[in-house]
Amino acid sequence: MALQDGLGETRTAEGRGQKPLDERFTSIERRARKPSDVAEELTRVLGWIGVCLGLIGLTAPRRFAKLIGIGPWRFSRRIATKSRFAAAATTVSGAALVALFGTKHRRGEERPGVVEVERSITIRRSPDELYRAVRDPKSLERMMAHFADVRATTPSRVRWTIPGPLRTIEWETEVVHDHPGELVEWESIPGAAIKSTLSLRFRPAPEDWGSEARLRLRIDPGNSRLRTVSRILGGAPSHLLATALHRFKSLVETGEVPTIHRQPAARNGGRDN
Amino acid sequence: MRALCWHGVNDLRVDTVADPEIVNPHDAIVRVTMSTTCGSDLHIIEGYVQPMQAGDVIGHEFMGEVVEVGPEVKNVKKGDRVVVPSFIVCKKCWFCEHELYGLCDNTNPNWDLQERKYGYPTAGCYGASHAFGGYAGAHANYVRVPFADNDCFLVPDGLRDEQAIFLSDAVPTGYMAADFCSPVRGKTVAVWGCGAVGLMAQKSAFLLGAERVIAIDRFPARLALARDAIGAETINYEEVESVLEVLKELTGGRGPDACIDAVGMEAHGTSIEYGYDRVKQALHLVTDRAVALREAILACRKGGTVSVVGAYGVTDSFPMGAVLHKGLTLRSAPQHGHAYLPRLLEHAVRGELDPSFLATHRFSLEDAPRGYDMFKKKQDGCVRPVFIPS
Repeated sequence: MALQDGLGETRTAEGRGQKPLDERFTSIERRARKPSDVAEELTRVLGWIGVCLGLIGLTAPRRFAKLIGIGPWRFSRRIATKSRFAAAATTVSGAALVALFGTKHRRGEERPGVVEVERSITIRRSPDELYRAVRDPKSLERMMAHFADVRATTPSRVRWTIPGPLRTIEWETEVVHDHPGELVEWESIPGAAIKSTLSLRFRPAPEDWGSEARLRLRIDPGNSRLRTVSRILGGAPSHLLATALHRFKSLVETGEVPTIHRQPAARNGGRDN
Repeated sequence: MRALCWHGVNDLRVDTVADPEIVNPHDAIVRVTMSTTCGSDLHIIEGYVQPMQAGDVIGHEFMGEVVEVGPEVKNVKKGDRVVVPSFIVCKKCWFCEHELYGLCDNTNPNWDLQERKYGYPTAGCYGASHAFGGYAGAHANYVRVPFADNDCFLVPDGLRDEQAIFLSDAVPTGYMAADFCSPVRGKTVAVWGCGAVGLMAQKSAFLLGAERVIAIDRFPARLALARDAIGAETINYEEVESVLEVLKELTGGRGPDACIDAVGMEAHGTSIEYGYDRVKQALHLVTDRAVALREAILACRKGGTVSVVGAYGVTDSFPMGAVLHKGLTLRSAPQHGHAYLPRLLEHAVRGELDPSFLATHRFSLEDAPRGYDMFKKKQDGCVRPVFIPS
């Protein structure tokens, strides 16, 4: 299946409209960054203190208000203040609980620095069509355009470039496994700056759903010099992969990637980036 | 160009912004000749629906003339007079292939925002929150229409703008609500809400063969429209002790076969639950006042259908027990307008469907904030103001 290239000049701009990675990142995933145990412990203790403060505020508001120096007041005449106080106490408790459980969900570490994630999507095309699409360097290029500049150097090799604020990171990968209609796997070439493995696996989906595509990424920064990359990717590898899959799906199903960039708005001089 | 922009809670301004341009190959640019308000815009304007960004162009119900097409657009051409449904659809994904257009997989660039809220993303929509893609809205001189071949429906020459514009959203949403109660033939359908969508749900129920339609609202002018323009029986809920009892009596003790909620999260009511919801909403503890939905569920006959097209966020105190023990079928969806547009245009051409009476007031685009204010306060019998860009 031939992919329509669309309007080439819009490709690089698509990434610019994105929010900072950390803001967009919420999914629970397997990350392998070294945790700061002290910080986590502190978060937990502070969290429980917050819950207790909120609960005391709710159960013994008068005494608590006096204790923190904002009381006493007559509740009967100051209903508004009382309900506001109760709402505040509930919020404190609630926020602390959310923070506590949020912290808990983000644990689960592996080896320091190693990033390994996997995401799936269902696409209304046969595994063969998807295989042919992904072997077209043009589609890999557009699929990854939200975070890296990907260029084919030879039919089986691609160069990845991630421009950073301080320096640009570049590495080259080549196809190491190639099973038509089933799997394509790229690995960084020996001696590349980053040790990475990326695979896209296809299998038929039930009924008329098409195929399930599974994208898997493993990055080992190896030496400490390349922690930057790990940090960039470590922020949201799962989201990066999911975005790549959504882009790939839209490209093969419709021939374009949905976007709102460069559209009119009453900000930035009348137009979004 | 000029456009109506959201700058914060209850802060609408008409600003000068850049013209939209063709970005993707299936895009077209439409010069808007008429746009209109929607109840769901009020949720956005009042800050209940997030996330919005200051400066967003709002509005999703519109029609106009195609002035530019992208290189891959095949069926639509410059000069075509078209009406455009509010949801953007690809017609290639599984959901589109199954005519579940509002659930399209390929038109929401902010799929991740929606996924966080609902588990899976919906289609993109013009001028709605960024969870629906953040597409620039239609209260403007021009609007970019992605997938123009799918989303632009030719308006037959005989139809005036006022007759065609509501086919963008109010009519297909109402029609879908009635279609969810299928088979409608011979049934009694009760509809909560006599705004544009409610009135069109009532009209559609008749088009689909309903025996009786009962409309529920509190504004005499709107109830009069339901009676006179649609031919529905009406209940003013502020004048009766219990809507439930009245419906029961009107249906020989059985209850309506199908109940449609065309009100949504900002329902007004007279019960204790209304006060409870209002307080929670004021404290930002919950967003919806689901009075109409609760009443529809309780009023529906055993084994009946409750069809929900009013807009909702998060609702609690939901009478799940009544749904379960009465064996109700609950149906809902964002608008699958593309599935209905061809037959709705046919109804309009044959003169069986003329929604132009919904356009109670006309404003220039420059006066759109005033139009929204009137719409919100339902002043002067306002059902829908329409905006004409100059």
